[in-house]
Amino acid sequence: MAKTSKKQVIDKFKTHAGDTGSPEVQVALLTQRIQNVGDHLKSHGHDDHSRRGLLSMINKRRRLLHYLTRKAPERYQDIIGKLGLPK
Amino acid sequence: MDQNLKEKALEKLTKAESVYVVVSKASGLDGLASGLALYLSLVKLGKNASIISTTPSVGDANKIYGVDKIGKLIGKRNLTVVVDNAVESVDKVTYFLDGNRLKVVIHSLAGSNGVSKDQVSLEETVSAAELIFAIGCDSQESLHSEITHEQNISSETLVININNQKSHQKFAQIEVVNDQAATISEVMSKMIQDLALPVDEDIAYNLYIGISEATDNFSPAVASPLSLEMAAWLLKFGASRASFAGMPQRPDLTASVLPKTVQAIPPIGVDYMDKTPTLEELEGKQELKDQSASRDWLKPPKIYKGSKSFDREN
Repeated sequence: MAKTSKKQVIDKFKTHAGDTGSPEVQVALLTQRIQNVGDHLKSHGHDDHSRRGLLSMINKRRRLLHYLTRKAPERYQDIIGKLGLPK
Repeated sequence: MDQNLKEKALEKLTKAESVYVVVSKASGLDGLASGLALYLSLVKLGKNASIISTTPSVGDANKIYGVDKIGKLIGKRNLTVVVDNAVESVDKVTYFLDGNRLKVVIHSLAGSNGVSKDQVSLEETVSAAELIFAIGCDSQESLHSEITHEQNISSETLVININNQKSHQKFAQIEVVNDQAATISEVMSKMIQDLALPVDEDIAYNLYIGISEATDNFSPAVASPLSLEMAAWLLKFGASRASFAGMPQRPDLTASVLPKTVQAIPPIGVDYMDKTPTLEELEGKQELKDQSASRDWLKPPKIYKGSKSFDREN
């Protein structure tokens, strides 16, 4: 993922100044990577190694969202609304 | 589950060091969710478990936990010595112990150039599983199609078949089959309950999603009494927290008054493909609605004076 693109995502989803690791930022970065790998797999269906990496990212995102539902459900609703993620 | 079968399964599970969970391709998200739940439970129990299944789609992978563990083979690794062109160069293989060292001798064939170091390589292979849980498999061929020749089934392997449909041929030593059940996940839930395997939020969530998806959100036409019974049991472990976070505890009666474009919360279990409106958009529309409602309140109410035809008759 390009550095400028990553910085834009961090700036858009950060919860406070200097925030680079909050669940919202991590989920947003993972979502972008998932979309990129998903697009790659549409034209490279036999790239099984990338597919494994995709599943790992999806699982990690699921865990972060689950953590957010327990800690702050309103933040969970906010982030899935902004990213257009299913519940 | 029969008491004898239960004891047999528990005995084998206690002794087994390598356990495979094999999910058939035909079982779909239901089978995969139940397989992952069982895998997570076995890992929690301290077993060397591996799950073998086809890779799910992104949509399905998003709904359940543990998808990154599919295909990772864990357990004892056997060392295999591979010799290239063995038919032309190898006569026989012998071994002996030299003190504490095992020496394997590859005898070269008479008349050949012998075996060189370049022809020899080493491979790590997993040992045969001692216990296999076959999920959604209806025949021996279905089970073998999922397992490669490396993960061979030895004669001492105990196979437990878990399904909600009776299979045409009996290929497993233990059959956990309930053809009255609507989903494989509820059969799995019942087995986990009977065997007292560990259950946590992730395991309960996977099983709950399996039942929910396969019964079309507990549709009366599909769900069985066991579906609801197991769902209630799974909810006690917190299965619903991850899936229903943020939803109102009671149905929002005012939601029907709002136009459909304002309702951003989709039905449960439906893949939400369109972009949901943001919170700012929703708040803006609600403000407009409130303002128009306050203006209407100031106007005098309309009094019904009756139809003209009714008055004429009287």
